[in-house]
Parts: sequence; structure tokens; C-alpha cells
Amino acid sequence: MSRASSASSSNAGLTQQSFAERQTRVIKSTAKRLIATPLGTSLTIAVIAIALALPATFFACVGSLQELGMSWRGNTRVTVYLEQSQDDAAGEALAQQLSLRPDIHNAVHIGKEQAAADFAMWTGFDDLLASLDENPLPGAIVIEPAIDLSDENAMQTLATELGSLDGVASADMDIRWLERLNAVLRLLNTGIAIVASLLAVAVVITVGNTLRLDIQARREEIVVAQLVGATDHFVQKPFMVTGLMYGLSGGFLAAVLSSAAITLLNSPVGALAAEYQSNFRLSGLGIGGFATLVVVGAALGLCGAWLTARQYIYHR
Amino acid sequence: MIRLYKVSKRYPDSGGAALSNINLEIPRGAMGFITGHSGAGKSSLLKMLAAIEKPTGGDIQVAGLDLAHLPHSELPAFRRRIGVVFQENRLLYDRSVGENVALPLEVCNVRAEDTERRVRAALERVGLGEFYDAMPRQLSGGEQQRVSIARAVVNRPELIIADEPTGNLDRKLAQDIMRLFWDFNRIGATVLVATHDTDMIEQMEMPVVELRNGKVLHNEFYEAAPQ
Repeated sequence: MSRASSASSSNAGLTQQSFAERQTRVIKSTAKRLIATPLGTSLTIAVIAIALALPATFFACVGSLQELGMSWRGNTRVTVYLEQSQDDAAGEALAQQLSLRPDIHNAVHIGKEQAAADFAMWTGFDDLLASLDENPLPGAIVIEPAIDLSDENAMQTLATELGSLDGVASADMDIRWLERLNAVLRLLNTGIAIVASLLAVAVVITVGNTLRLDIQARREEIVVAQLVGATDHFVQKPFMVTGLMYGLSGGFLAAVLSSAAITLLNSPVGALAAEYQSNFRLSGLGIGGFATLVVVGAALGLCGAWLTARQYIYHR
Repeated sequence: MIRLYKVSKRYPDSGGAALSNINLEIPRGAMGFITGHSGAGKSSLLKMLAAIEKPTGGDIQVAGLDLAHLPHSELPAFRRRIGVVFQENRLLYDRSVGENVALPLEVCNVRAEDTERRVRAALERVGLGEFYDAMPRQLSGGEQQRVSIARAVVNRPELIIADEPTGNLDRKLAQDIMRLFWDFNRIGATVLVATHDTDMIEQMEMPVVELRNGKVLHNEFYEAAPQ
């Protein structure tokens, strides 16, 4: 028994690594392993980055358009088109009369000549207008409502009421095309969300498949480690850290790529917006979006690693 | 230390039983041989003693643990108490000799300085002190086998199991390795070596269990009784 007790002393007198030391060791060895295979590591990270950057960039673009739509909604007007028989004096009088109503904040009369000048400026068809015998454009009154702009029914009621006034040909809300734009943007958002979900699954599969190959290449190491007493957790940890590193790096690169793409797009977008007297620019990801992309990348990397480790390491 | 009672092992894809009705008791601190011709069941027996495989019937106890019913979660703790030497040595060829020997301590999260001290001591013990930083492929077959022995004993296990550890070695190296096992036995470890080298067995004068066709033909230890 004395011999037995000396033999069973095993690890007595040895000091254990602290939690931080254990994590540092795994992170260092994993980073070393990834750096040792630069091509494979870069390709995996690039695939993750592209898969994350694409939907992130589209989301950012659509988000910018939605913000633009919201700002335009705040400037919603009702345009009252006068009958051709109404002259500018009658139009001016009607505008003054309308501006006294409690549900109207402001009413600005646009005379026939002004309408023609605006039309020529916006469309460039001034030659066409000049060739006509008389100005075909009616006078108009631009109404700035004093009611809740988001209350579509109230807005519709006001437009209908204005359209039925004497001397008025029709009244249109400027919001209609905006609603159509918003509907298109909602459709785009849903489409991008579906594509983003599929790409997220692709990231999980990419990380999982890369780690599956890694596990197969290190099969002997895993078996020997288990034979000398490694726990599943011990064996799994380097692969989890690898998945995390792939995800973090991929997410970071995706954020950089997305920001670069938005910056590149902003130049032609700005030029196009200037044609319409607008200062519109696409919004970048911002710090929040950047961090979200990195966190999402890390989470997907971990998810892929966890699923693979469960399948190929646990209980073998 | 080891107690097998009516232990049997049958593999699904083979016709007969690899082991049948094995009764065996080996006391703590003993050293002995498991022998028998190829296919007698030596490797199956050692795999069950190392909890690599489970028996299909009977009771198997090692170091007080019921291996037939040992939960998966308790396997690592058990394996840290034993050292296994394989015939094909199972070294990791992308790691240095020192890193190979350090593996059992690494999985126990032992600090680097303690690990190095223990690994150097284990390598000194098997006569490979100067090969700490060498790669396994730089060593001969006998030296590689000694590295795997150093890995098996670095944790100071209670039980050392060796499956044909001298199978690929010449007579002189085989004797050196057997002397190593004897040294570890003298400092307290129970040692069980599977071999078909009858000359070696006769020379060492240790208790022998002879298997034939999965049954005990001759047993110089004890026959386990029902508990």
C-alpha cells in the first residue's frame, strides 16, 4: 500500500493555470495555428466577410432611403390644381381664403406663369412650352396642412374637400408616391432579410465545414488527448476559439468592406442627388452598425464551431 | 487494483467473442504480463482496462471504479490516473518530444514551469533528457517508444498499461524498455504489459496471464470471486 500511495500522488505539488492563463494559452495557440495557414485562413475570413458585407451594405442603403422618405413625409403637401378658367387673381384670393382655415397652416398660390417657369426648369422642356400658342399649365395652390401628417384618412378627407371647391380642378396629396416608395423599400428590406438569413446560414456552414476539416486533420491529436484525460470541453475549446476568431475577423472585414462600399457609392449618389437639388447621401454603418456586424460575425462563427464540435468531438 | 468478473466482449461485426468469462484479480503495485497468440484477446482486454471500450458483459473494476458503467463525464478523471503505452506509440509528429510528453499535464491545466520540470524529469528517466526540443521523426523507433513511455508516466499514474510496447524493437531495446517498466513498478505503479514475446516473459520472471481464443488459459495472479 505504501507503494500505491506514492504512485497515486500523480499531480500533487503541481500548480494549476489560472482561468486567464488557460484562455490566453488557447487563444495564442489558436492564433498561431491560423497564422501558420495564411491562405486557408484568409479565404475563410474573406467568404465570411463577403457574406456579411453584402446584406449589411444593402440594409444601410435601404435604411438611408427610408430616412429620406421619413424626412419627406414631414414636408407633405396637398397641391390644389385650379381650373384653366381661373386667373391668377382668383387663385391668389382662394389661397388667402384657404390659409384662414384651422386645418391649413399655409397656402401658397403658384400662378400660371410661375408654373410654366418651374416646369421648364425641372424638365428642361422650355422649347416645347415656347412652341405652344398658350400656356397649358393651370395655376395651383400648395397647401401645408395643420393636421397630423401621419393620419392618412384626415389627409385624404382634406384633399377631397379641397378638390370639391369651386374653381378647383383637382387636389392631390404629394404623399402618394412616397407611400409607393416606402412599399418598395419594405419589399426590399424583406428580400434583403431573407438573403441575409441565407447568408448567415452559409457563414455557419462555412465555419463548420472549415472546422470539420480541421478536426479531421487533427483527429489523432484529439484521440490521444482524450486517451490521456482531456475532457470534451478541453478538446472543443480550441475549435470554439477558432470559430470565434473566424467570425470576429470576418465581421470586422465585412464592416470595413461595407463602409468602403458605401463611401464609394456616395460619390455617384451625391452627383445624382445634386441633379434634384438634394444633399442626400447614403448613411454609413456608424459605430453601432460596425460593432453589430462584428458581434454577428462572432456569434455565427461560434455557432458553426459549436455545431461542428458537438457532431465530431462530443461523445466519441 | 484490477478486478474482472465474468467479463466478456463481443464485437458486432465479428462472429465469435473476443473475450469470454474472464475472471481476474491483480493487486495494487503488481507487475505482470498478458500473453497469448495474435487474436487471443490481449488488446481487447487492455482496451477495456483503459476504458477505451466497454465490456458486453460482466464487471470490470479498476482503481475502485466500475468501468462497465462509468459515465462519459468521469472518463477523463479516470484516464488521468492511468498511463497507456501503445504498440504504435501514437506520438504527435507535428509536436516536439517535450510537447508530446507534456500532453497529459496540459490537459490537466498544469502551469508551464511545473510541466517543463516534470517533462524533463520523465525524459531523463527514459534516457532522452537531451531530446526535449527534438521532433519525434528525428528519433529512432526505440527512442520514440521511450518517448511514449515518458508520456504515459509523466502524470505518475497508478496503473501503466502497455500493449506490445516492444513489438517493433530489437532484443536489446526491448530489454531496456522492460527495465523501465520495472523501474516504474518499483516506485509504486501497477504495470500490466501485453506481449507475445515468451523469451522476455521467461527472463523477467513476473506473473503471467495467458489468453487463448478469448479465454484465460493460465493465470498466475488471482481468480476473481463474486462480490
